[in-house]
Amino acid sequence: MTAHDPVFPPIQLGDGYFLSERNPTATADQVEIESRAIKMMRLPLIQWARDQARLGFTALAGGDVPAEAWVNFDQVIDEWTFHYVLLALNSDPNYPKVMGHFFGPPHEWFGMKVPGSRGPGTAENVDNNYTVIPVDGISRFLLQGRRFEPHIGDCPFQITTNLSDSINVSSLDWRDMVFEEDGESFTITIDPHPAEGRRNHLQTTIDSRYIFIRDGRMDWRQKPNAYRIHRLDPPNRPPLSDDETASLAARFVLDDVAPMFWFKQMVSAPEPNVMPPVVVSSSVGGMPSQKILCARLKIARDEAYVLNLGTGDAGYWFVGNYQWWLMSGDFWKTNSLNNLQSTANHDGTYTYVFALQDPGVHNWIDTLELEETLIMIRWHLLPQTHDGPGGQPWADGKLVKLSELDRNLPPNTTHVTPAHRAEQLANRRALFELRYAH
Amino acid sequence: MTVVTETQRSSTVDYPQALAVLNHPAVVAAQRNAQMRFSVLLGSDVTEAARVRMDCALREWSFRHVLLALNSDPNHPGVTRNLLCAPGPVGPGSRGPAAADDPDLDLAVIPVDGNARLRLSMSHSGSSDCTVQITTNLAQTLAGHADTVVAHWTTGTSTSRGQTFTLSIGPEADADNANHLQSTVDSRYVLIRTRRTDWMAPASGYRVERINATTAAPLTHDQIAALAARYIVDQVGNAYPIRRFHQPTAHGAGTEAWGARLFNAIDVNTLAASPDDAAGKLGHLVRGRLRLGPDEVFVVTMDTTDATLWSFTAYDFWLMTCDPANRCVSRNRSQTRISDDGTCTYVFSAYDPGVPNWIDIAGIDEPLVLGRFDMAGDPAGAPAVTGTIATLADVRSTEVDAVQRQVELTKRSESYAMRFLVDSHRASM
Repeated sequence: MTAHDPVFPPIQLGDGYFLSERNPTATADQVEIESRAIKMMRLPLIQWARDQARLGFTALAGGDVPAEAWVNFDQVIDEWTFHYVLLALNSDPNYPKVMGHFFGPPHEWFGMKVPGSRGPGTAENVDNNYTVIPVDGISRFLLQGRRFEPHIGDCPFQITTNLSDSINVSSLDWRDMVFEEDGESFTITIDPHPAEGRRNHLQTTIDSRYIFIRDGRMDWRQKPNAYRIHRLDPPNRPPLSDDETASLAARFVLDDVAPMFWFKQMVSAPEPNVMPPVVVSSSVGGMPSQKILCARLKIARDEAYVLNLGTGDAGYWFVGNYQWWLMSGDFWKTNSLNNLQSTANHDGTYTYVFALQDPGVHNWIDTLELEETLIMIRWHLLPQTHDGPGGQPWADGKLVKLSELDRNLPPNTTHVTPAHRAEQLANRRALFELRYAH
Repeated sequence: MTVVTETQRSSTVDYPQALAVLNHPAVVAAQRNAQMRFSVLLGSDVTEAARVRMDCALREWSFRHVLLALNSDPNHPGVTRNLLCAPGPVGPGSRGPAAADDPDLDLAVIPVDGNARLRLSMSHSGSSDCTVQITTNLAQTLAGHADTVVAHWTTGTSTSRGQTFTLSIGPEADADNANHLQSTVDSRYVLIRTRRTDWMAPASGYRVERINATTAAPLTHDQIAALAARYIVDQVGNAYPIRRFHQPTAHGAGTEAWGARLFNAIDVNTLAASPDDAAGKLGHLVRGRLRLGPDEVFVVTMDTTDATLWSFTAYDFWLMTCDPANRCVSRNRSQTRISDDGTCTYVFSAYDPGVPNWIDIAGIDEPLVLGRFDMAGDPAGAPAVTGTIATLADVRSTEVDAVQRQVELTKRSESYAMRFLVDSHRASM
């Protein structure tokens, strides 16, 4: 910032921009973008692009797709389309906005039935609130942020260069964030220049496209941060018209088909029911501070996959199950579990049971009636080393018959009764609904 | 009188620098990452012969993205020419997996964004059509697929020799100026596609100037290398057509729109046709995948009545031609002998069968075939093309003897080199 740049008032929930005093993601910008996106979905051009994307995924998948993956395929493509319509509506760095709830499930709020915004290959971490803000490689921006109790568990900031937000050129670790005197507010400068003493800074490159933020809820009671973005330079072109935005959205819907299908293929490359080595995420695209394991499961109705996990001293980890297209399922079911949602073994390891049917253990990963699924395990907040994330997280497992499950579980595994399960799911659902409460 | 390509010198492409970037540790690491990604992508589909050529393919993949990175800053635009080109006098090859390089095409790119105002001057060699487009997708930039093109301009097919054009490029609309291309907020490159129907013609001349003030200093060597590294890794997913060319037929019907792009799988030793949206113009593609025995050839017969421009090309597993300068791995209309009845017959074979329209499969064990057709604006005009297996003995002819073939190949080599030359008039642009 320079002495000539304006000073912005601190973030205040309920001030008219922030529409709720308790939900920092309920903003005027968010509601406006979602409302416009819902209308834009009805345009013939968008429906044409949607159909072309469907053809594209169909052609790319070839004859390898299990029948169960086609059952909800149209809904998957509808979400894909909505995802890129949302992105197009917030893609002009001349007029940047803060758009959260990206990679989210269908939901209702503010009188709107908001479609889901995931799709093939999106592989979202359902604990996160994903936010995108358009930037470019020439302009200066200021991002205001403020956290609220209960504080978010982790929140990495990245500058990304592609539509998939998978290639990072600049990162800011939540553990390195410098707060204002109130201990809650922070600002991040974003421009093409090095930090040069600025405490929270993201340097852009010529190909920069978005600020990509993952507000990670370890505990689903935690509140995502509140954000406001300010462009410090005058815009260099007028706002996009509705027609221009629709054309942009149509291009986005088509452009990312091949790269995202490749990503899905990469996750599904290993032999089924075999855990490959844990790798640093940036080797496959994603958070450079994270380690990850991607694998493929093939489980019959009378089987279970027993997965044992070593934490690697991670402050947070997430075990997620995805349908064949690498898209998450119902957030409110135990289709994923993080460390706070899981129970530990006596030796500090964790054991998860992937199964179509409830096996009666606390750490059940519900495959949502699907036999062929993909899994991603993410370890965050690992010990930091000079070369990136340290620690030695691991995972292995084996396929067993449900009838033989107990003998393949560690002693003292936490079992649950149907009543406990109902309580677990009811609690999860209630916490999920906090995301859209306002 | 020809001179060494002035256009190369007047662009920002500095080949010694490009080679230095190619050897930058970040780029070398990115190539390793891309190789891993391609290996995952292709799985067990890769033939042993293709695996042997993978390093070369990846090296070209890297160099292509180094060239793009070197000329990616709209603040300091230049003209990068001869993209998707086999190794030649100006440097290493710049193709890579899924390139489907067209020996008849001269591809050039200029970086643009939603802010830059550029002036593009072009001088054409004639008998070639040229399209200029603004594209938004790095991978599709070179293919020019219609759904990533946001602005389009063309000379048509009857450009006179020596004709010059000046185009303006910028974010504003200019309905009164037919030579204006309007950029969008997501614009990445100006793509110039010049079809070289006559290989003897010197290359066209291009010059680009930025009109409005720059917003940043030129990228440093390390910044260019980092950018190239990102491109090398990030674009692997966009090379998915390579996999589909070798995979079973897609589930379901209605994949025509993607068929041309994906080279959807075809039964061995047959041909399949589909519309081609490349360059935003009407055309057709014919695709084939051959598996020939030692004494077998593949015979393609075409009725040329409704076609104005066309070519047939043989590729390796990676969709890259093998030595197009010195081997008859492709033929366009002017390189084809047409029969009096308007048909022509191509013979794809490993050994010279002595026919005029031999297409050399260059020792490739399972060559891929592309036929490209400009249908002269006729939307219903699909080319009448058939393909069938025959034995070498069936087609062997004495029409072209070894001496005549050598003459043809020498002429091909000399004419291929012309694309790297610009005559003195254009050099002075």
